[in-house]
Amino acid sequence: MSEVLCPICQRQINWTAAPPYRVGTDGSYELLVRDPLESEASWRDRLVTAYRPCRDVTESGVHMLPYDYADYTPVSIGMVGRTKAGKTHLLAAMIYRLCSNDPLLGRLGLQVGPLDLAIHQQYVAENIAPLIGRRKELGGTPADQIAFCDALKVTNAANRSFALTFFDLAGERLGRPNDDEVRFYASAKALLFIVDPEALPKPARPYSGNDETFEAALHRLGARRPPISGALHPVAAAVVVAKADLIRFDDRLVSDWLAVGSAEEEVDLSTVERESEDVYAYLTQRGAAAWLRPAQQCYYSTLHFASATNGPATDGAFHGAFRQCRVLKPLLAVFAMTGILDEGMLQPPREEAG
Amino acid sequence: MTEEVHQIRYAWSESSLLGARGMGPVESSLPEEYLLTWDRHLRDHVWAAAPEPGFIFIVRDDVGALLRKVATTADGRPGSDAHVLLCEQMTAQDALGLTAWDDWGGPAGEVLPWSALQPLRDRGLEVLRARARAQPADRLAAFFAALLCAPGDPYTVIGEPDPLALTCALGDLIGQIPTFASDESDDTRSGLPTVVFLRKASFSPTMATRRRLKPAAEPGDPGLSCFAGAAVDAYIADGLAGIAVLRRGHAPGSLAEARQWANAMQFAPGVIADPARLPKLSEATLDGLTGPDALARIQSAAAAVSSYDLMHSVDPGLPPAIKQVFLEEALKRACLAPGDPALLQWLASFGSPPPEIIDKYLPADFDHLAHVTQVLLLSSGDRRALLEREARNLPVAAMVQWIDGHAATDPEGTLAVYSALCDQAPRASQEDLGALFARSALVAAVRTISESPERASILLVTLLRALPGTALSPDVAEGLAGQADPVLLHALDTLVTSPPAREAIHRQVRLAYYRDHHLHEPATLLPEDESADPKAWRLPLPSAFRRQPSHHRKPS
Repeated sequence: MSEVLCPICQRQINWTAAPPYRVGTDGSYELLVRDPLESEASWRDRLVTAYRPCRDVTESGVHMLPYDYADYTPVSIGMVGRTKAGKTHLLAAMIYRLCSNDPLLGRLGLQVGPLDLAIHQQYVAENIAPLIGRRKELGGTPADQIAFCDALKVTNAANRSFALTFFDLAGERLGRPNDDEVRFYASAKALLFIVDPEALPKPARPYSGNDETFEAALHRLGARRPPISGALHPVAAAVVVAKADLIRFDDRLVSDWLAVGSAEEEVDLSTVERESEDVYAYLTQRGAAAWLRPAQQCYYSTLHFASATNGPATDGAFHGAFRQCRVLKPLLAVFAMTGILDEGMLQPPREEAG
Repeated sequence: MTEEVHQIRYAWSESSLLGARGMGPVESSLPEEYLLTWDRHLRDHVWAAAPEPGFIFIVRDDVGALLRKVATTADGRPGSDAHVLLCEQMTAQDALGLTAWDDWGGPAGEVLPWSALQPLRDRGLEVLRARARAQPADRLAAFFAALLCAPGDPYTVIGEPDPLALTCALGDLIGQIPTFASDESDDTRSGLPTVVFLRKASFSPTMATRRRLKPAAEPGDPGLSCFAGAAVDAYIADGLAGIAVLRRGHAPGSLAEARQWANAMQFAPGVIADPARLPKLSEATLDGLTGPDALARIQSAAAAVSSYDLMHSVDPGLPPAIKQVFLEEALKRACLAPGDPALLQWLASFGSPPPEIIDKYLPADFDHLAHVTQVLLLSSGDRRALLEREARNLPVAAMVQWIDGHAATDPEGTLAVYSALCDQAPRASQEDLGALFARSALVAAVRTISESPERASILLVTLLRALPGTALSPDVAEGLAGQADPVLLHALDTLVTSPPAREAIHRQVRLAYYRDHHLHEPATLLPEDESADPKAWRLPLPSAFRRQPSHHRKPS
C-alpha cells in the first residue's frame, strides 16, 4: 500500500495499524472492538461504517477517515473563492447532480456513492435538501470549519475507484495569508476557482482588486511547483464563473452557454475547450485578468460558466425558474483532468479541433 | 483597560474595519492596533448556530471577552451578527450575569464603564441562579457526578434546554464558573471554552477531544454520585449558602481530587458536611449519622463553623448523640475563651452539662470558670466541689481577693473558694495574712454569703482558727476588734485568749452596744492617753498594722 496521507492535516498515516472506530449516538467516536464470537461477515459489515484515525487518538486534531479510504485513489477537491462567491451553492448543486443516479453519468461509466455515509447524509441534510428540495438560500459557511464537507466514492469505467473529498471552506478563511490549519492545498488534486461575477471590474468600477483567495491558493500551491522557472502548479484547476445567470444579459457568450446547458450537453466534455476559450475571452474583456491566474498557472485548467440556482434569492429563497445550469460540467472536467475520466474526453470533436 | 469595557460588533460587510470582505468587525471602540489582535482571537467564534442568541465567553491575554451572536437574514442570505464586550475585570461569573444585558445588539462604538455594568451583572446573575436552582435535581446531580469524574477536562453538553443555567449550576457546585459557549454547531475546533453546548450531536471528520458530558443513568462512581446528589439538594434548597461549606481554594482538577474533596465534604455518603443542614435532614438520614465515623466528622465540622452557625445547627429533632457533639463543641468554646455571652446563654438553655465535660475543657482562668459554671447552672454541689478544687491552686492572697470581690455576685462560688481558703489557711504567708487582715478577715464577704450572723461567725471562726498559730496575735486581734463588727467580735471572742486582746474585744463589744442604743460612751471607758482625741478609737484598721509588732504572745 502506498503512503496514506490525511487529506485534512496531511499527516502520514500508519494505515494498517490504525484501529477501527465507530460513531456513537452522541456523535463521538468509540473504539470498535470485535467480539471473539463474532462472525467474519458481521465484523466486515461493521467495518463498512467504521473509521480510522489519522493519528493517536489521545492527541488533539485527530481526523477520522472512512475505514476503506486507502483502498481507493484519493482525490481531494477544494473550492476556492471569496466570501459570497457562490462556492457552497455550486458545490451543493454539483454533488446533487453527481449523486442523482443520472443514466447519463452511467454513459460515462461512472458509479457514484457515498464514501462516508454519515458525512454524506449530513451534507445532504444541511445543503442539498434545503437548496434543491426547499429552494432555500444556504447560509454562509462558518470560518471555523476546516474539514472536508462530503466524501464520495467514484468508480470509473475501468473499475478503478477514487475516494473523493470535497473541501468547502469559508472565503474569510481561504483569504487569510497565514492560516496554518488549512492544509488541503498540499495534496489537493483539483481546485475549483469560483469567480464571483459581481466582484469583477465594471465600467463604473474599473478596479476591483483581485480575489485574495485565488492569490492565497496559488501562493500555497507554489510549494508543490517544481523549482524551475515558469513551472506550472501540478494541480487541476477549473475556473468557474458562478452565478452566471446574473450576467447572462451582459454578454452574449454567457447567455449562449447557459442556453445550451442541458443534461446531455453537461456530460459531453468535448465542448469544454470551446467554453474555456469563451470564458477566458469574457474575463479578459471585462478586465478581470487577475481571475485568470489559476488557468494560467496550473498544469491542467478549464474554464466554465455555471449557475447553481438560475437566479438570485429573494428573502432567503429561490423562486421562479430555479434550476441548476451547467454545474456538473466543471466537476466532470476535473474528473477528466485528474484521471477519474479519460483525459481524452476533453478533446474537442475532430472537425472542430481541426 | 482595567475599568473600561470595549465593544466590537461583527457582521458581514463588503469591507470591514480591517478592510476585508466578509464577516468581520464593522463597529468598535477599540483602537485599530488592538482590533487586529482581538479579531484574531474572536473571528472563529462569531458564527452563530441559530437565530436565538448564543453566548461565548473566552479569556485571552488576561482579558475576558463575552460574545453574543445570532443568526440573521438581514441581507437575505443567512448569516451571523455578533456583539462583543471586552474587559480585564470580567470573569466567567460576570459574563454569565451580563448575558442579560439589555443593550446587546445596540451601538458598539462607545467605551462603557465597568461600574455601569456591575448592577446589571448582579441582577442577571441572580435571575440566572434562580433558573439554575429550578433544574430537576436528579438530572443536575447526574450531570454534576459526571463532571466530577474528570473535573479538569473540557466538556460538551448536547441538547441542553437552558445552557446558561446549567453552566451556572455546575460552576456553583464545583466552585468555579467555567468559560462557556452556550450554542455552537460544532465542538471540534481549537480555542473553544471549557464548556460547549451543542443543540444536537454533530458529525465531523475531526475527532472531538472534549468529552461529552451527559447525565449518566448508571452512576459511574457511587461515592461521587452520593456526594453530587447531596450537594445538588443543598444547592437547590438554599442556593450558594446551601453549599458554602463546599468552597475551598480551588476547584478539584482530577478524579482523585474530586474523590478526596467529596469524601472530606460529607458526614456520611450522601450527607454534606454542613452542620447547618442537619436540621433539614430526614430522621432516617440522621440515624445514619450516629456511628463513630460520622460523629467524628460532625465534630470536625462543628469545630470549623462560627459560634452563630453552631447555635443554629442544633435542633430538638437531632439524635442525642449528634446534639451532644454540638453542645460539647459549644461548651469547649465557652470554656476556652470568654467573650461570647450569647453562646453561653444558649448553652444554658440546654440545662446543666455533666461536670466531667466541664472538667474536660476546664478554663484556665478561675474567674471564667466561676462565670461559666454559674451561667450553666451547674448543680450547687457539683459547682462547689469543682470551684473548691480549682481554687486550691490559687495563691491564698488571690483567694482572699476573689472572695472579697465576688461575695455579692456569686455567694455560692465565694463559699467554695472560702472553703478552699480555710483549707489553705495553715500555709498562709505573712503577705497572705496581710491581705486577709487588710480586708478585716473577710468579715464583710462572710456576712454577705451567710444567711445569719451566727453562721457568719462560725465561718469566720473556721478561717481564723485555721490560720498559722502566730497569725492572730494580740495586736492583730486588737486591730480586728477595732473594726467593731459584731460578727468579727464574736469570732474573736471565741478564739482570742490574750487578756489585753480580750479586753480590747470586750471594750469594742460594749461600744457596739452603746452605739446600737444611741448612748454616749462613759468617760471612764476612754483611754487615758487618747482623751484629747475622742474619735481615736475610730482609726482605720490599717493604722493598727502600721504599729510596730509588740511580740506579745497569747498565754497558753
